[in-house]
Formats: sequence, structure tokens, C-alpha cells
Amino acid sequence: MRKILFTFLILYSSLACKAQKISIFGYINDSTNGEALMYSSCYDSINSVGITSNAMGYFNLKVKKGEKVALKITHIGYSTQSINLIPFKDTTINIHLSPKQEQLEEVVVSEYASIQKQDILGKITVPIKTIQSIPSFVGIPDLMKAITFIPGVSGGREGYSNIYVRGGDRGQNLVLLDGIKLYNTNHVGGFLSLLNSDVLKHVDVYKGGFPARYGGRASSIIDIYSKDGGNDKMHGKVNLGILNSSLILEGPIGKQLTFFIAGRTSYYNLLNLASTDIDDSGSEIYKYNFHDINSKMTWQIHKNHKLSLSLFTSKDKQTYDYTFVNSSTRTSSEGNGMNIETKGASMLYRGKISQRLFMENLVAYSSYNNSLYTSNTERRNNLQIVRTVNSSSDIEDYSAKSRFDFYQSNNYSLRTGIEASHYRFTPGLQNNFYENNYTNVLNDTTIGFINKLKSTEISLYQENEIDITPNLQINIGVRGIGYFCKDTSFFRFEPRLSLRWLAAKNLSFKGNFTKMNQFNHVLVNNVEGFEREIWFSATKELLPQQAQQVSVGVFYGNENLHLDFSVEAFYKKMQNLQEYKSPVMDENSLDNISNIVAKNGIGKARGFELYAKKDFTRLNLNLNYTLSWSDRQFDELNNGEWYPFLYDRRHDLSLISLFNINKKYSIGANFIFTTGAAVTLPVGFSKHDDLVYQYYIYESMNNKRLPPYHRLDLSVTRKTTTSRGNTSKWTLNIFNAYARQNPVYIYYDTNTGKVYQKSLFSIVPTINYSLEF
Amino acid sequence: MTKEIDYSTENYIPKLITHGYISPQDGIEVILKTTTNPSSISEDDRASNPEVRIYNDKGEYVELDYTTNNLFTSDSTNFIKNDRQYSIQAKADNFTSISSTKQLILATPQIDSVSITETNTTRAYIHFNNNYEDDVKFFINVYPYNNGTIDPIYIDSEKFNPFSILDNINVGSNTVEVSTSFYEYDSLLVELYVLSPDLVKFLTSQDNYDYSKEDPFYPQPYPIYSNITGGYGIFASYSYSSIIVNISRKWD
Repeated sequence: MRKILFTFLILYSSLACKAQKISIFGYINDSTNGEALMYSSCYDSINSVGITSNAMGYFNLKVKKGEKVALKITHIGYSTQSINLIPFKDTTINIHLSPKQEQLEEVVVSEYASIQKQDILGKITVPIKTIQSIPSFVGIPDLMKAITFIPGVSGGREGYSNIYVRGGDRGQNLVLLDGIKLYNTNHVGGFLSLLNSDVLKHVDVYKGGFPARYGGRASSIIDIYSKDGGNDKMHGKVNLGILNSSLILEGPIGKQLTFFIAGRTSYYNLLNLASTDIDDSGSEIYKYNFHDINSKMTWQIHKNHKLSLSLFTSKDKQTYDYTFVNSSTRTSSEGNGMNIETKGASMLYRGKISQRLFMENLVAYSSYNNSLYTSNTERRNNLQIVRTVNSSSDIEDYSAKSRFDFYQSNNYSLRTGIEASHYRFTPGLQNNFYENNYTNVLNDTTIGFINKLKSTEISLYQENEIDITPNLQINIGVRGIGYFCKDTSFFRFEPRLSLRWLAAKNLSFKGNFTKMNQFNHVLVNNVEGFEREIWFSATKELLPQQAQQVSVGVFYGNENLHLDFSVEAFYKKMQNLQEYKSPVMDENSLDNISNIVAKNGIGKARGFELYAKKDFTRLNLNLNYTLSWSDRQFDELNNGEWYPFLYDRRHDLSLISLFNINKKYSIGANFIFTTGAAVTLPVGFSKHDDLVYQYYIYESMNNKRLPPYHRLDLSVTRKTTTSRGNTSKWTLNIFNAYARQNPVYIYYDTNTGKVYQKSLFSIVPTINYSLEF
Repeated sequence: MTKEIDYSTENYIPKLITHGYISPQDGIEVILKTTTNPSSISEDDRASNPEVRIYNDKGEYVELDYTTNNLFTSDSTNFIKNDRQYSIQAKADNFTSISSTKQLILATPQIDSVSITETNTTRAYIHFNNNYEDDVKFFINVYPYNNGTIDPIYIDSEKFNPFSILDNINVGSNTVEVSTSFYEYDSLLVELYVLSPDLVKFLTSQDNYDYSKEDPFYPQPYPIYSNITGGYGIFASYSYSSIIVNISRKWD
């Protein structure tokens, strides 16, 4: 151990000695609106050194004094800029990249820069234009569905916007929107993502190799930044679809302030009005509505200091009301409904303290609440009996972070920081109300306080990025966490290690090891297809989840051939997983959760991922394939035996293509093929007899597979420029073009003795119009 | 969209199923039959050359007699003793033999009294001696009784309705509270059962099974509990006592 420490100190000292070079530094921005281009690549092709800009678009490249430098600055979706110079002193260069407006855009979920030069294995930057280019479900571009095309990421049930990364569960994904932790990412019970693709600026997905600055989830990180709002002029975009519409406005307010505000709303209620049944005998009304609003204001205090305020709110509301009029004096009515609200706010300060030191401070609030109600009212003359049941579940999160980025040299940078989060969990509350004004009986009772809990999580981390040689890069870090909850506390230590060896100009090998802890658990209730999440804290009985992951990969990238290819292998172990052990009932969350949960299970996942991308002049092709296994074991489930995870997919293949016919027209096509979902099916049947009613006999969990899932989606886009110079776009989306009936579940009907499959979607054509102004 | 599919159960292996109860009051009743293929449930479930024996913990046994509809019974009522344990062994041609875990015959519950009150709803309170272990649970039947007979419409086709298991004693430790709505009868027949832990698990699993079946989006059907080795089903004990309570007041 001493030898390792000694070697590390010698290495660090030698790196520090090399810091006698001079600096080329500056900001990289969008030339059209001044938006900082975070994580752009700045590479000196003569000396084979490069650096990535930080979240403010700032870069600082160390070069040798008086020697020629050929800089190549790249950012996905932007034209590459080349700069040649011979610097003799520290030099400032601010770079303005132009979007590739008229050229073929990269259209697939792909690696950010040359694939072999990416430093972190498992990190993928999702090109924003991709999300809007690929054929989409019901014509609404969806970030979460686009992410499912990444190898190693599975999409769960058809139509849902959930993601499962490398055998992990959906609650193991940390989704950050401008630093706000999102505890729900869905509209319409899971069928649409609540992330408006029009507000996205940058999206990083980590499925492994997690840098130490991230923590709190076991399987993946999705780090999303929204736009700052351009500083050039006021402009906007309107989208008109068959299910929802959206509007976004952005621009400057004075010289230093920029803003954007974006809203989406559905209008199913309007469409449904025609079919609403109202007459003298009563009425039956079903309503569903959702909306979300994103807004952000950015204050460029100084060129080196920026303050942003982000606000986010989203709501889904479903109601069903039925009124029956028996006579003029007697009516009865009943109703039920559901509300889901997700809210968040963050204030982020980013500042450059010196050429080498950056600071980032964040305070954030996030909340998620879902509630269900049923009501029944009977009126007879002056008599009225009212019964209502309301149940709800929510979580609140107050977070603060502070981080310092220190760029010692091209060869060494350090990130260190502290994070604190305070959580308030209310997994389930139920209010029962009964009032009878004839008997004067009133009962108003609320139960479920037993699971209310507050907890605090504090983390410290340090992350070191070291270029040991020009071809060998290491990212080594550690994260220490303390979690304090009621009468329990947990202390965890998470080592993180990531290596990249550039074996040749076009070829690299990468590997990493990470350990993650998660102190929040989630259970999912699916009520007639609509999902809602129940979040609860780790406790003495429900221990924090843990995951250890090792992955290795080979990456080949050839810029001349416009070809990227990679193969990765991963192995992940998970501990302290929590799962329902009995049928899911709403009232479950009211019981002591440790009684209804199969506690502290273990899981393992392993697999191979293949990624290939080839760009032709007018055609872009992307192939993703995953071969994987994911299993679970709980002492209280399946007689303690291992069983396949519900979202275990042996084969998961997607082929994405975009063909640009000309500047006006483009055609997109996605083909998806996956192994059928794991499902528990009976091994026998017991007919009705004189002592016991008939039943199917089940032996082991997830013992069978649904038929394979496959689907083809198509899109045709027509893009034109109006007489006022605005861009308008018509898009025809065809989801499931050959009307494949993919089964969501199979059931055995005891009446007919036959087996049936249920599918949710056949062919779904939709048309959308958008206008940028 | 729903469509019928050809989804034959691969590698289906038929096994024996038994549903058997033993009690000091009703004696022994056992169903022995075979499973049917879940994709073809109308198949015949009779076993060929079946043989059913009940063993006590001394190794003594009685052989059950076939009656009808896969039902086996025994006339040897003296064979059943309180505080003794019993298990089943059964076989049939072409099937693996099956056996159960041992079942303790539980002491018969003693009903002390039944009281009926009427406020907003009519309730019967059954007071009894509760000297049982915690894993023993109770089951209650209240039948309207008219002219010495139970109206057949109130008799379930199954022996026990899983919804009626009493997880705990509602009023105090020795009293069960039951809502009744039998207005037009002159008396009630009250039966109080004690159920062996295996029978409780079996009935509870039936309840959970029914619930999980109702929601197809819930991925895991709840399996019916079995204490049978080599096959499926249940062999369990229970004990009960009953009392007839005259209703002195006619309701409106």
C-alpha cells in the first residue's frame, strides 16, 4: 500500500512539474445565441493532446511555448472549427461554433466525440437533435424513449417511458434536470416522458464508470441541462400535435439576463367532450389532462460568473364522474380520480475563480406526489350520505451542493465537493371520510403516519483525472457518504476507477470499476396500467441498496470513414434490493412497509453490448445490440431460488436510420427486436372440486417468456422556410408500421379454457406541425 | 387488443393434487385428482387406481374409500384424536406418490355465549375460550336458520371462503364481532372454526391469488400454498363448534 501511495505522490509531483507550459484558454459558445457549449472537445492534433470544456464552456489547454498548435474544436451538431497558431504566452481564444443547419445532422444516439477518445466508459451524450429526429410514439419526441436505444438500456413495457439500465431497476436511475433530482419522469401513467425535448441543451447518460461527483443511485445517471435562453433576440417555437401542443419562448432581457419558458398541455378533454354521455338520467364524464412548464432565467453576472434559476412543474389529472338521477328527489353519484404532481426548483452559480479553479454551487428542491380518490354520494330529499377515500404518497428533497474543479495541467485535473440532501418521505396516507346527516354520524380518519420519515444524506467526494502518458488516462475517485435516518445511520465508501488506453490512433481499450449506494427505495404500483411510484427510505430493516460494476470495452473510431464501433462487457452485482412480496394493493403503502416488502434481495447482471454507427453522405445508420442476463434472489420470494428479473432481455437489438432526401425531406426508420419479457405462467390447473375452487398452479417466478417483441417505426419530415424566414416542419410519424400485436401480457381464461394475449398498440399514425419563429 | 394465441405449455408434466381436511367433527375428506394442462383445462382429472391413506404419528393408518367426484372419506372416526398429528400419503398409476406435512388436531373451540345488538347495523358477538397459539387463526360462519334448516343459498360451494379468515380477534381476545343482515329468520347457526397454520396459509394464498389475478399488469400471480411433496394441494386440520341462537326480536 505504501508503495502505491509513494508511486502516486511521485507521479503527482512529476505532473505538477510539467505545469511550466503556457495556456490556451477561453469559452466555447454557440455563434447564434451565445449559449455556452458544455463538454466540447478541444484537441491539438499535432501534439495529440486534448481537453474537454467544462459546464460553462470553458477550456484551458496547456501547450509548449513557441511550438505550433493545430486546434480542432468539435461539438456534436455543430461545425468543427480548426485554429492553427504558435503561442508564445498565455492566450485567450473565445470560440463560436455554428450549428450544422443545412448539413446532414448526426441523427442517432451516439458517442459524443470520436468514440475511442472518450475518457469515460459507459458515458453517452445524447445528441438533442436526435431525440427530435427519430420516429416517436404518438408524435411526441421523448428523451427517455430515445435513451432506450442505447446498448445496455432496456425500455420495459411497450409504450412506457421507463428505462432499465444493465439489469437495474427503474428506481435506480438518478435523473437530474439542472441539478433537480426528479422522482418521476412520466406523464399519463408512464406512456410519455415529462421531459420536454424542446428545452434540452445537453444530456449525459452514464450506465457505468460513474465519476465520483455523482452518487445516490445504483444503476445509472441521466444528467440533463436545459437551455439558458439565447442572448441574440427573442424567438420561440410552437408545436401542434394531435394529443398535445407546446410553446417555447426564449431570449434576452437586457444585456446580462436571458430566459426561456416552455409549456406543454394535452387536450384529451376537448377531444373526449363529444363522446361524453350526459342526459336527463345522469352523466358519465371521463377526463384526463396533463401539463408541464419549464422555465429558466440566467444572469451572466460577469463573463466568468453565471447564476441560473430553474423552475419546473408537471401535473397529471384524471377524473371519472358518474351521476345517476333516480328521481327528482333522489340522485347518486360516484367518482374516482388521480393526481400526480412533480415540482422542482434550483439555483445554480458557476464561477471562474482563477484560470485553473472553477466553483459551482447549487441549491435545489424537488417533490413528487401522487394521490388517488374515490367518492360516493347519495342524496334523498334532505338526506345526504357522503363517503370518500383519499390516499396519497409523496417525497420531498432539499439539496445543496458545492463543487470545485481544479485544472492543474492538461495531464491532471481535480474535482472535489460536498453535497447534502434532506428527504421527507410519506409513502402512504389514507383519509376515510363518512358523513350521514340523517343519523348525524361523522367519521374522518387518516391512517398511514407510521411510515412518515425524515432523513439526511451528506456526501464528500474527490475525483482525479490523470493522463499518465498521452495514451493512458485514469479517472480515480472516491465518495464517502453518511445517511442519517431516525435512529439509524449508515456510512458508506465508494471507490471509482476508470481507465482508457489509446492503443492506436483509432483504437482504445477502456475499463472501470464502480461501487454505488442508494438510500431511497421505490416500489411501483400499477393500477389498471397507470403506474405510480412509492418512495421510502432505507432503514434498519430495509438496508441501502448497493451495486458494484465492472466493465471493459474496445472502441474503434475512424473519422475519415465516419465509422464508430464498440464492444463492451459488464458484470454488475446488486445487494439489498426491495420488492413487493404480496399482491400490490394501494393500501400496502399504509401498512408498515417492512412487512409487505421482500427485503434485502440480491441481483446480478452481465452482458455484452455492441454499438456501430456509420454515416454516409445522405444516410445515417446506427446499430445497437445487447446480449444480457439479469437475475434476482430474495429469501422470501420463489422459495429463495434465483429467478430472471422481470426486464431481463436476452437479446435487445435496434437499428436506427435517417435518410435525407434533400434539404426539405427526410425519412426516418427504427426497427426494434427484443426477447419476450419474462413472465410467470402456470405449470398446471386444478379443476373445481367439492372442497376447493379451481386455480392455476404456479411453481417458479418468471418461468416463461412472452413472444418476441418487434416493431418498425417510420417518420417523414418536411422542413421549409417561410416567407418571414421562419422554419416550419411537418412530421408524419407511424408507430408500429406493420401493426405487430406485441403482447403486454398473456392470460388464461377459465371460461373458454383458451389462452389470450393482450396488446396495447397497433399501428399509430400521428401528424405534428412545428414553427420556429 | 386481445387475440387468442397458441401458447401450449411446454414440457407439461401432470402431477397429483390433493385437497384434504381432517377434523374431529367432520372426519376426513380428501380429493385426489390430477392436474390438467393449463392450455387444455377441460381434460379429465381423474387418477387411475388411486390409493389414499392417512397416517398418524404412531405410524398407524386408515385407507380412505372412494365415493364420487374424486372424493375419498373414511368411517373410522375413532382414528382421529385431539393433540395427535396426521399426514396423507397417496398414489395412482403413472404418478409420483405424494405426501403431506403432519397436521396437529386442534382442541375444539368452546363458545361461551352469543349476544346480538342493533344500532346502525346488527351485530353478533361470539364469546369463546381462546387458548390457542398465535399462528392458529379463526374462521366463522353465521347462517340464517329457519325451522331447523339452513337456507341453501347461503352455503358456499367450497368448504372455506378465504375472505372469512379472522386475522385477529376483533373485540378483546375472546370475542368475535360479526355483522349480520338476516332479517327474516328466527334463529342463527353460528360456527366457530380454528384452523391449522397450513390451512391458514392455504386460504390466505387463495385470497392473494384472487387479488393478483384481477390486475394483469401486476407481474406476479400469487401461487397457491401447498404442503404436499411430489404434487400439489393441501392436507390440513381444523376443528369447530357450533351454536344455534334464537332471535327474539323481528326486524323491520
